[in-house]
Amino acid sequence: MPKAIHPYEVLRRPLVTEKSTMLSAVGKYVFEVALGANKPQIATAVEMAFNVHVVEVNTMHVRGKTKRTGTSRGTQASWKKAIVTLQPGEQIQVFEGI
Amino acid sequence: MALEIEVEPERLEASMDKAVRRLSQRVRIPGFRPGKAPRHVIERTLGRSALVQEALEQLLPDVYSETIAAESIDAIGQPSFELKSMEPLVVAATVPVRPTIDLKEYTALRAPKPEAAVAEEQVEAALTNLRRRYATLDPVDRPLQWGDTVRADVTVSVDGQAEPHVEEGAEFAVLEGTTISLPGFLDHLIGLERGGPYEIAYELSADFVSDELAGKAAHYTVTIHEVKQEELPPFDDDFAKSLGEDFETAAAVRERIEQNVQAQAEAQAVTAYQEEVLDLLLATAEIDYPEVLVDNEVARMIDQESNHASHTQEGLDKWLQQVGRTEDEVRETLRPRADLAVRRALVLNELAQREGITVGEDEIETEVDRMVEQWFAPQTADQNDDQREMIRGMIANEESRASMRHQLLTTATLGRLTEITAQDEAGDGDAPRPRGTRRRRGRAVDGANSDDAVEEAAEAAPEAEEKTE
Repeated sequence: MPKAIHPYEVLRRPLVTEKSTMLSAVGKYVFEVALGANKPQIATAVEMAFNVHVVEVNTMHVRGKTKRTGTSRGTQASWKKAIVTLQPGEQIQVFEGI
Repeated sequence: MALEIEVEPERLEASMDKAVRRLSQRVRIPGFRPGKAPRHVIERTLGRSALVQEALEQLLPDVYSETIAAESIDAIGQPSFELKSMEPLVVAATVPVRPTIDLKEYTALRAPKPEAAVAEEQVEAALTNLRRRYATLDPVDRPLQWGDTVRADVTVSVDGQAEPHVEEGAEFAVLEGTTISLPGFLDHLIGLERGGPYEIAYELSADFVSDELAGKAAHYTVTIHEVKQEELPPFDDDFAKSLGEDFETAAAVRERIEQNVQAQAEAQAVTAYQEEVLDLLLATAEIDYPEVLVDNEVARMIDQESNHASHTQEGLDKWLQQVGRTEDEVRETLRPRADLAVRRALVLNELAQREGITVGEDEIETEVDRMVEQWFAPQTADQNDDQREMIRGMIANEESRASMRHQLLTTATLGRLTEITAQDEAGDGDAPRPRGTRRRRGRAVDGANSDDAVEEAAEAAPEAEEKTE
């Protein structure tokens, strides 16, 4: 049983990169989401937040890289990426508020 | 001239697209390789105003030059832009345009041409100058008078100056109206006899050029070794022969001097007349010209006066400090002169055009030849052709050719102008003596036996050797 996460907490931020911009042309939008969030939760959150219909959600873990500065080493935080496919014709103004 | 240019939205849009492409190459946006970010991303990151600015930078000159061409405006300087409104885009451009000059009925201008009058005294003065050149200095035993030469030890100190200035065996002429050492010093010497030491103390005038010294007390200790009287050679045939020219009699010398003085007076009269007539033309003409011309002239003058120090900000500051004024003050004082210069140049230019006065290549060639000859004048004419060619090459470069052309054109135009104004009046227009083409005067050399001596003697008073602190 997945942990309950409030829909507002699911979506962390939209991911704006070259790749995600290209995906948005075919109706797929990329977000960074809460680590524990599952696909149904993400779908609900997106539908609530942007008033659209989600057809498919793909997720993946992005593992934090080990970074070094001199002798000290550290790890970047791991996070979860979600690629959300909307119903054809629907759009999200992802970049608003950045 | 003020223009109002409206740019169609489509055009602005297209220009902005281009601006985005240019900008995206330069800007690093996380998540995108340089040049790959889409327009809306760039717009969000940089802000729309930055985009517009970048777009305008390219768009304005284009639009501007189109407008200039379409309205056939004769611009002579860089425009300055001001944004009036964004939607739709309206730009106000201020641009200096070619001045319009209306010479009015300049052919009807008349002014009496003054006769060059030579007074007897002028000839006499010139003669005296010539004789003074060959004068001998005889020691005399009497109080010092104006015109004497004195040899003395001088020690001078001014209040507040640490070290007294000492000069031993200094020899100088005591001429009225000249300054040796500090102003007023010579006056105190008059009446003193050989011997000393004399103590002289007096206060410098409060408006002395140097602030440090103005109003301070000056102390002199003077020991006079010799008072020498200037003994002019008698003006007779022997003197005439001693001049080394082919003068046989004093009368011949006198005649030559008279001629020289006359020629000089005429040249002066012509110049004065030209100036007068030019001012007359200036007064009648209607001229409309942009301020930028005057600004340029002022800049040029500053450049000249500061010996090109103004090329760098640093040099300019230094120079300003030297003259003790701010740049604005300097500009303000120069402005009237610059304004006049600009107006004169404009009017002359217009007149040259109207009268169809041009200067041909061959005329410049002649001028160059003349200058080359002049170069060799003192060393007679037996110079070889190689040297001649070399000098020629030095003189006849593009830059000096242009300035020669300008000079010749000015002379010709002024000549034409005087011809016009002198019509129906006394004497119809002698060819004016070209300006600024007089032979360069060298420094006077003692015992120079040449025609120069006679000529120079004719030219005003001798420059007094100045001995300065």
